[in-house]
Amino acid sequence: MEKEDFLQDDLLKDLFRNQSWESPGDDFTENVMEQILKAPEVAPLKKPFYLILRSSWPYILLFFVSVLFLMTSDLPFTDYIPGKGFITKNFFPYFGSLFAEFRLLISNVKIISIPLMVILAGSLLVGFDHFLFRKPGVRHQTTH
Amino acid sequence: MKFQDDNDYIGRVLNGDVSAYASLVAKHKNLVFMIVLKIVNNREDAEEISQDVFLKAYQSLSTFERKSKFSTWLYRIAYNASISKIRKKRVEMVAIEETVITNYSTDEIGRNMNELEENDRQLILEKALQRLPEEDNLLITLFYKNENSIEDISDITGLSVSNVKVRLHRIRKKLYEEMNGLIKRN
Repeated sequence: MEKEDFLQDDLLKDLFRNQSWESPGDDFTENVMEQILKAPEVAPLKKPFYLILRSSWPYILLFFVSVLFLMTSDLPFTDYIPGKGFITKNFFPYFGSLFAEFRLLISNVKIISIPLMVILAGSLLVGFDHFLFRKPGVRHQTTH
Repeated sequence: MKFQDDNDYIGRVLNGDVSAYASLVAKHKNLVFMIVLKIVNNREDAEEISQDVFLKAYQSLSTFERKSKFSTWLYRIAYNASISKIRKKRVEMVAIEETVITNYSTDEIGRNMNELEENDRQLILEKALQRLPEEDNLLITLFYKNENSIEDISDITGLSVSNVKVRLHRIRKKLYEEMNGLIKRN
């Protein structure tokens, strides 16, 4: 980047160029490295993406099973899911039958549909929250 | 000593080669120390803070995203650590009014400076720098000595680019004023 014209100043440049550098003590680097080797939590590494995926598979699986269930179930609130009819018909015709018995069970007991809806929604939210906002994994290295 | 690219060392450190960090320390210690010293104005404090800066940088190395230069990132840590250290005892700096800077021309000062021995020139520069507020001393040193760009200085200090420009312009005038005064007194 070009220096600003109005700050161009040969005299100052020359003066600063000839100015001596202040240096820390000779053992500075050794002291820093000594502290680093003593520190228990050294160089936390970013977790590679494949490791994040590997530890997240239960949540991903839960997500897909939930989506599959919601898409194929005939619980009343699931009718409002956009595109449900189209997806059920074209993509999940087989999966619909997997939940048939479960669907029968809950459709006969109307009273549990609302709590079930709340539990499902809550579980999904907790799952998402845990997956998206958990603390990043930190791998500690040994220094010796 | 010849140093490799910072990213090479960083990669090695992140892969578990702790000793590679020693090269990063050796490469950047002078400038980190200079930044801290300019602000805290005490060698012992500056050495201690500089060590903490390198320790902190090491522990946060994985968060360095390589969007900026490692040196800029490191100097920003040094700058923030120094500012935190002096914040309590910091006296509110009085803005330098343009009207204060009068009665000299840079050419005249240049001529007067050129007549002096190099040692005297350096002494005058050093004294004039010491009369500046710590942060101003650092800004002008980064610009003229370390030849950092305005953008780099903005990244290091957190000041806006336009603010850095304005401040450098004023600091330069103030520095000339101080040098002028020192030359006349000699």
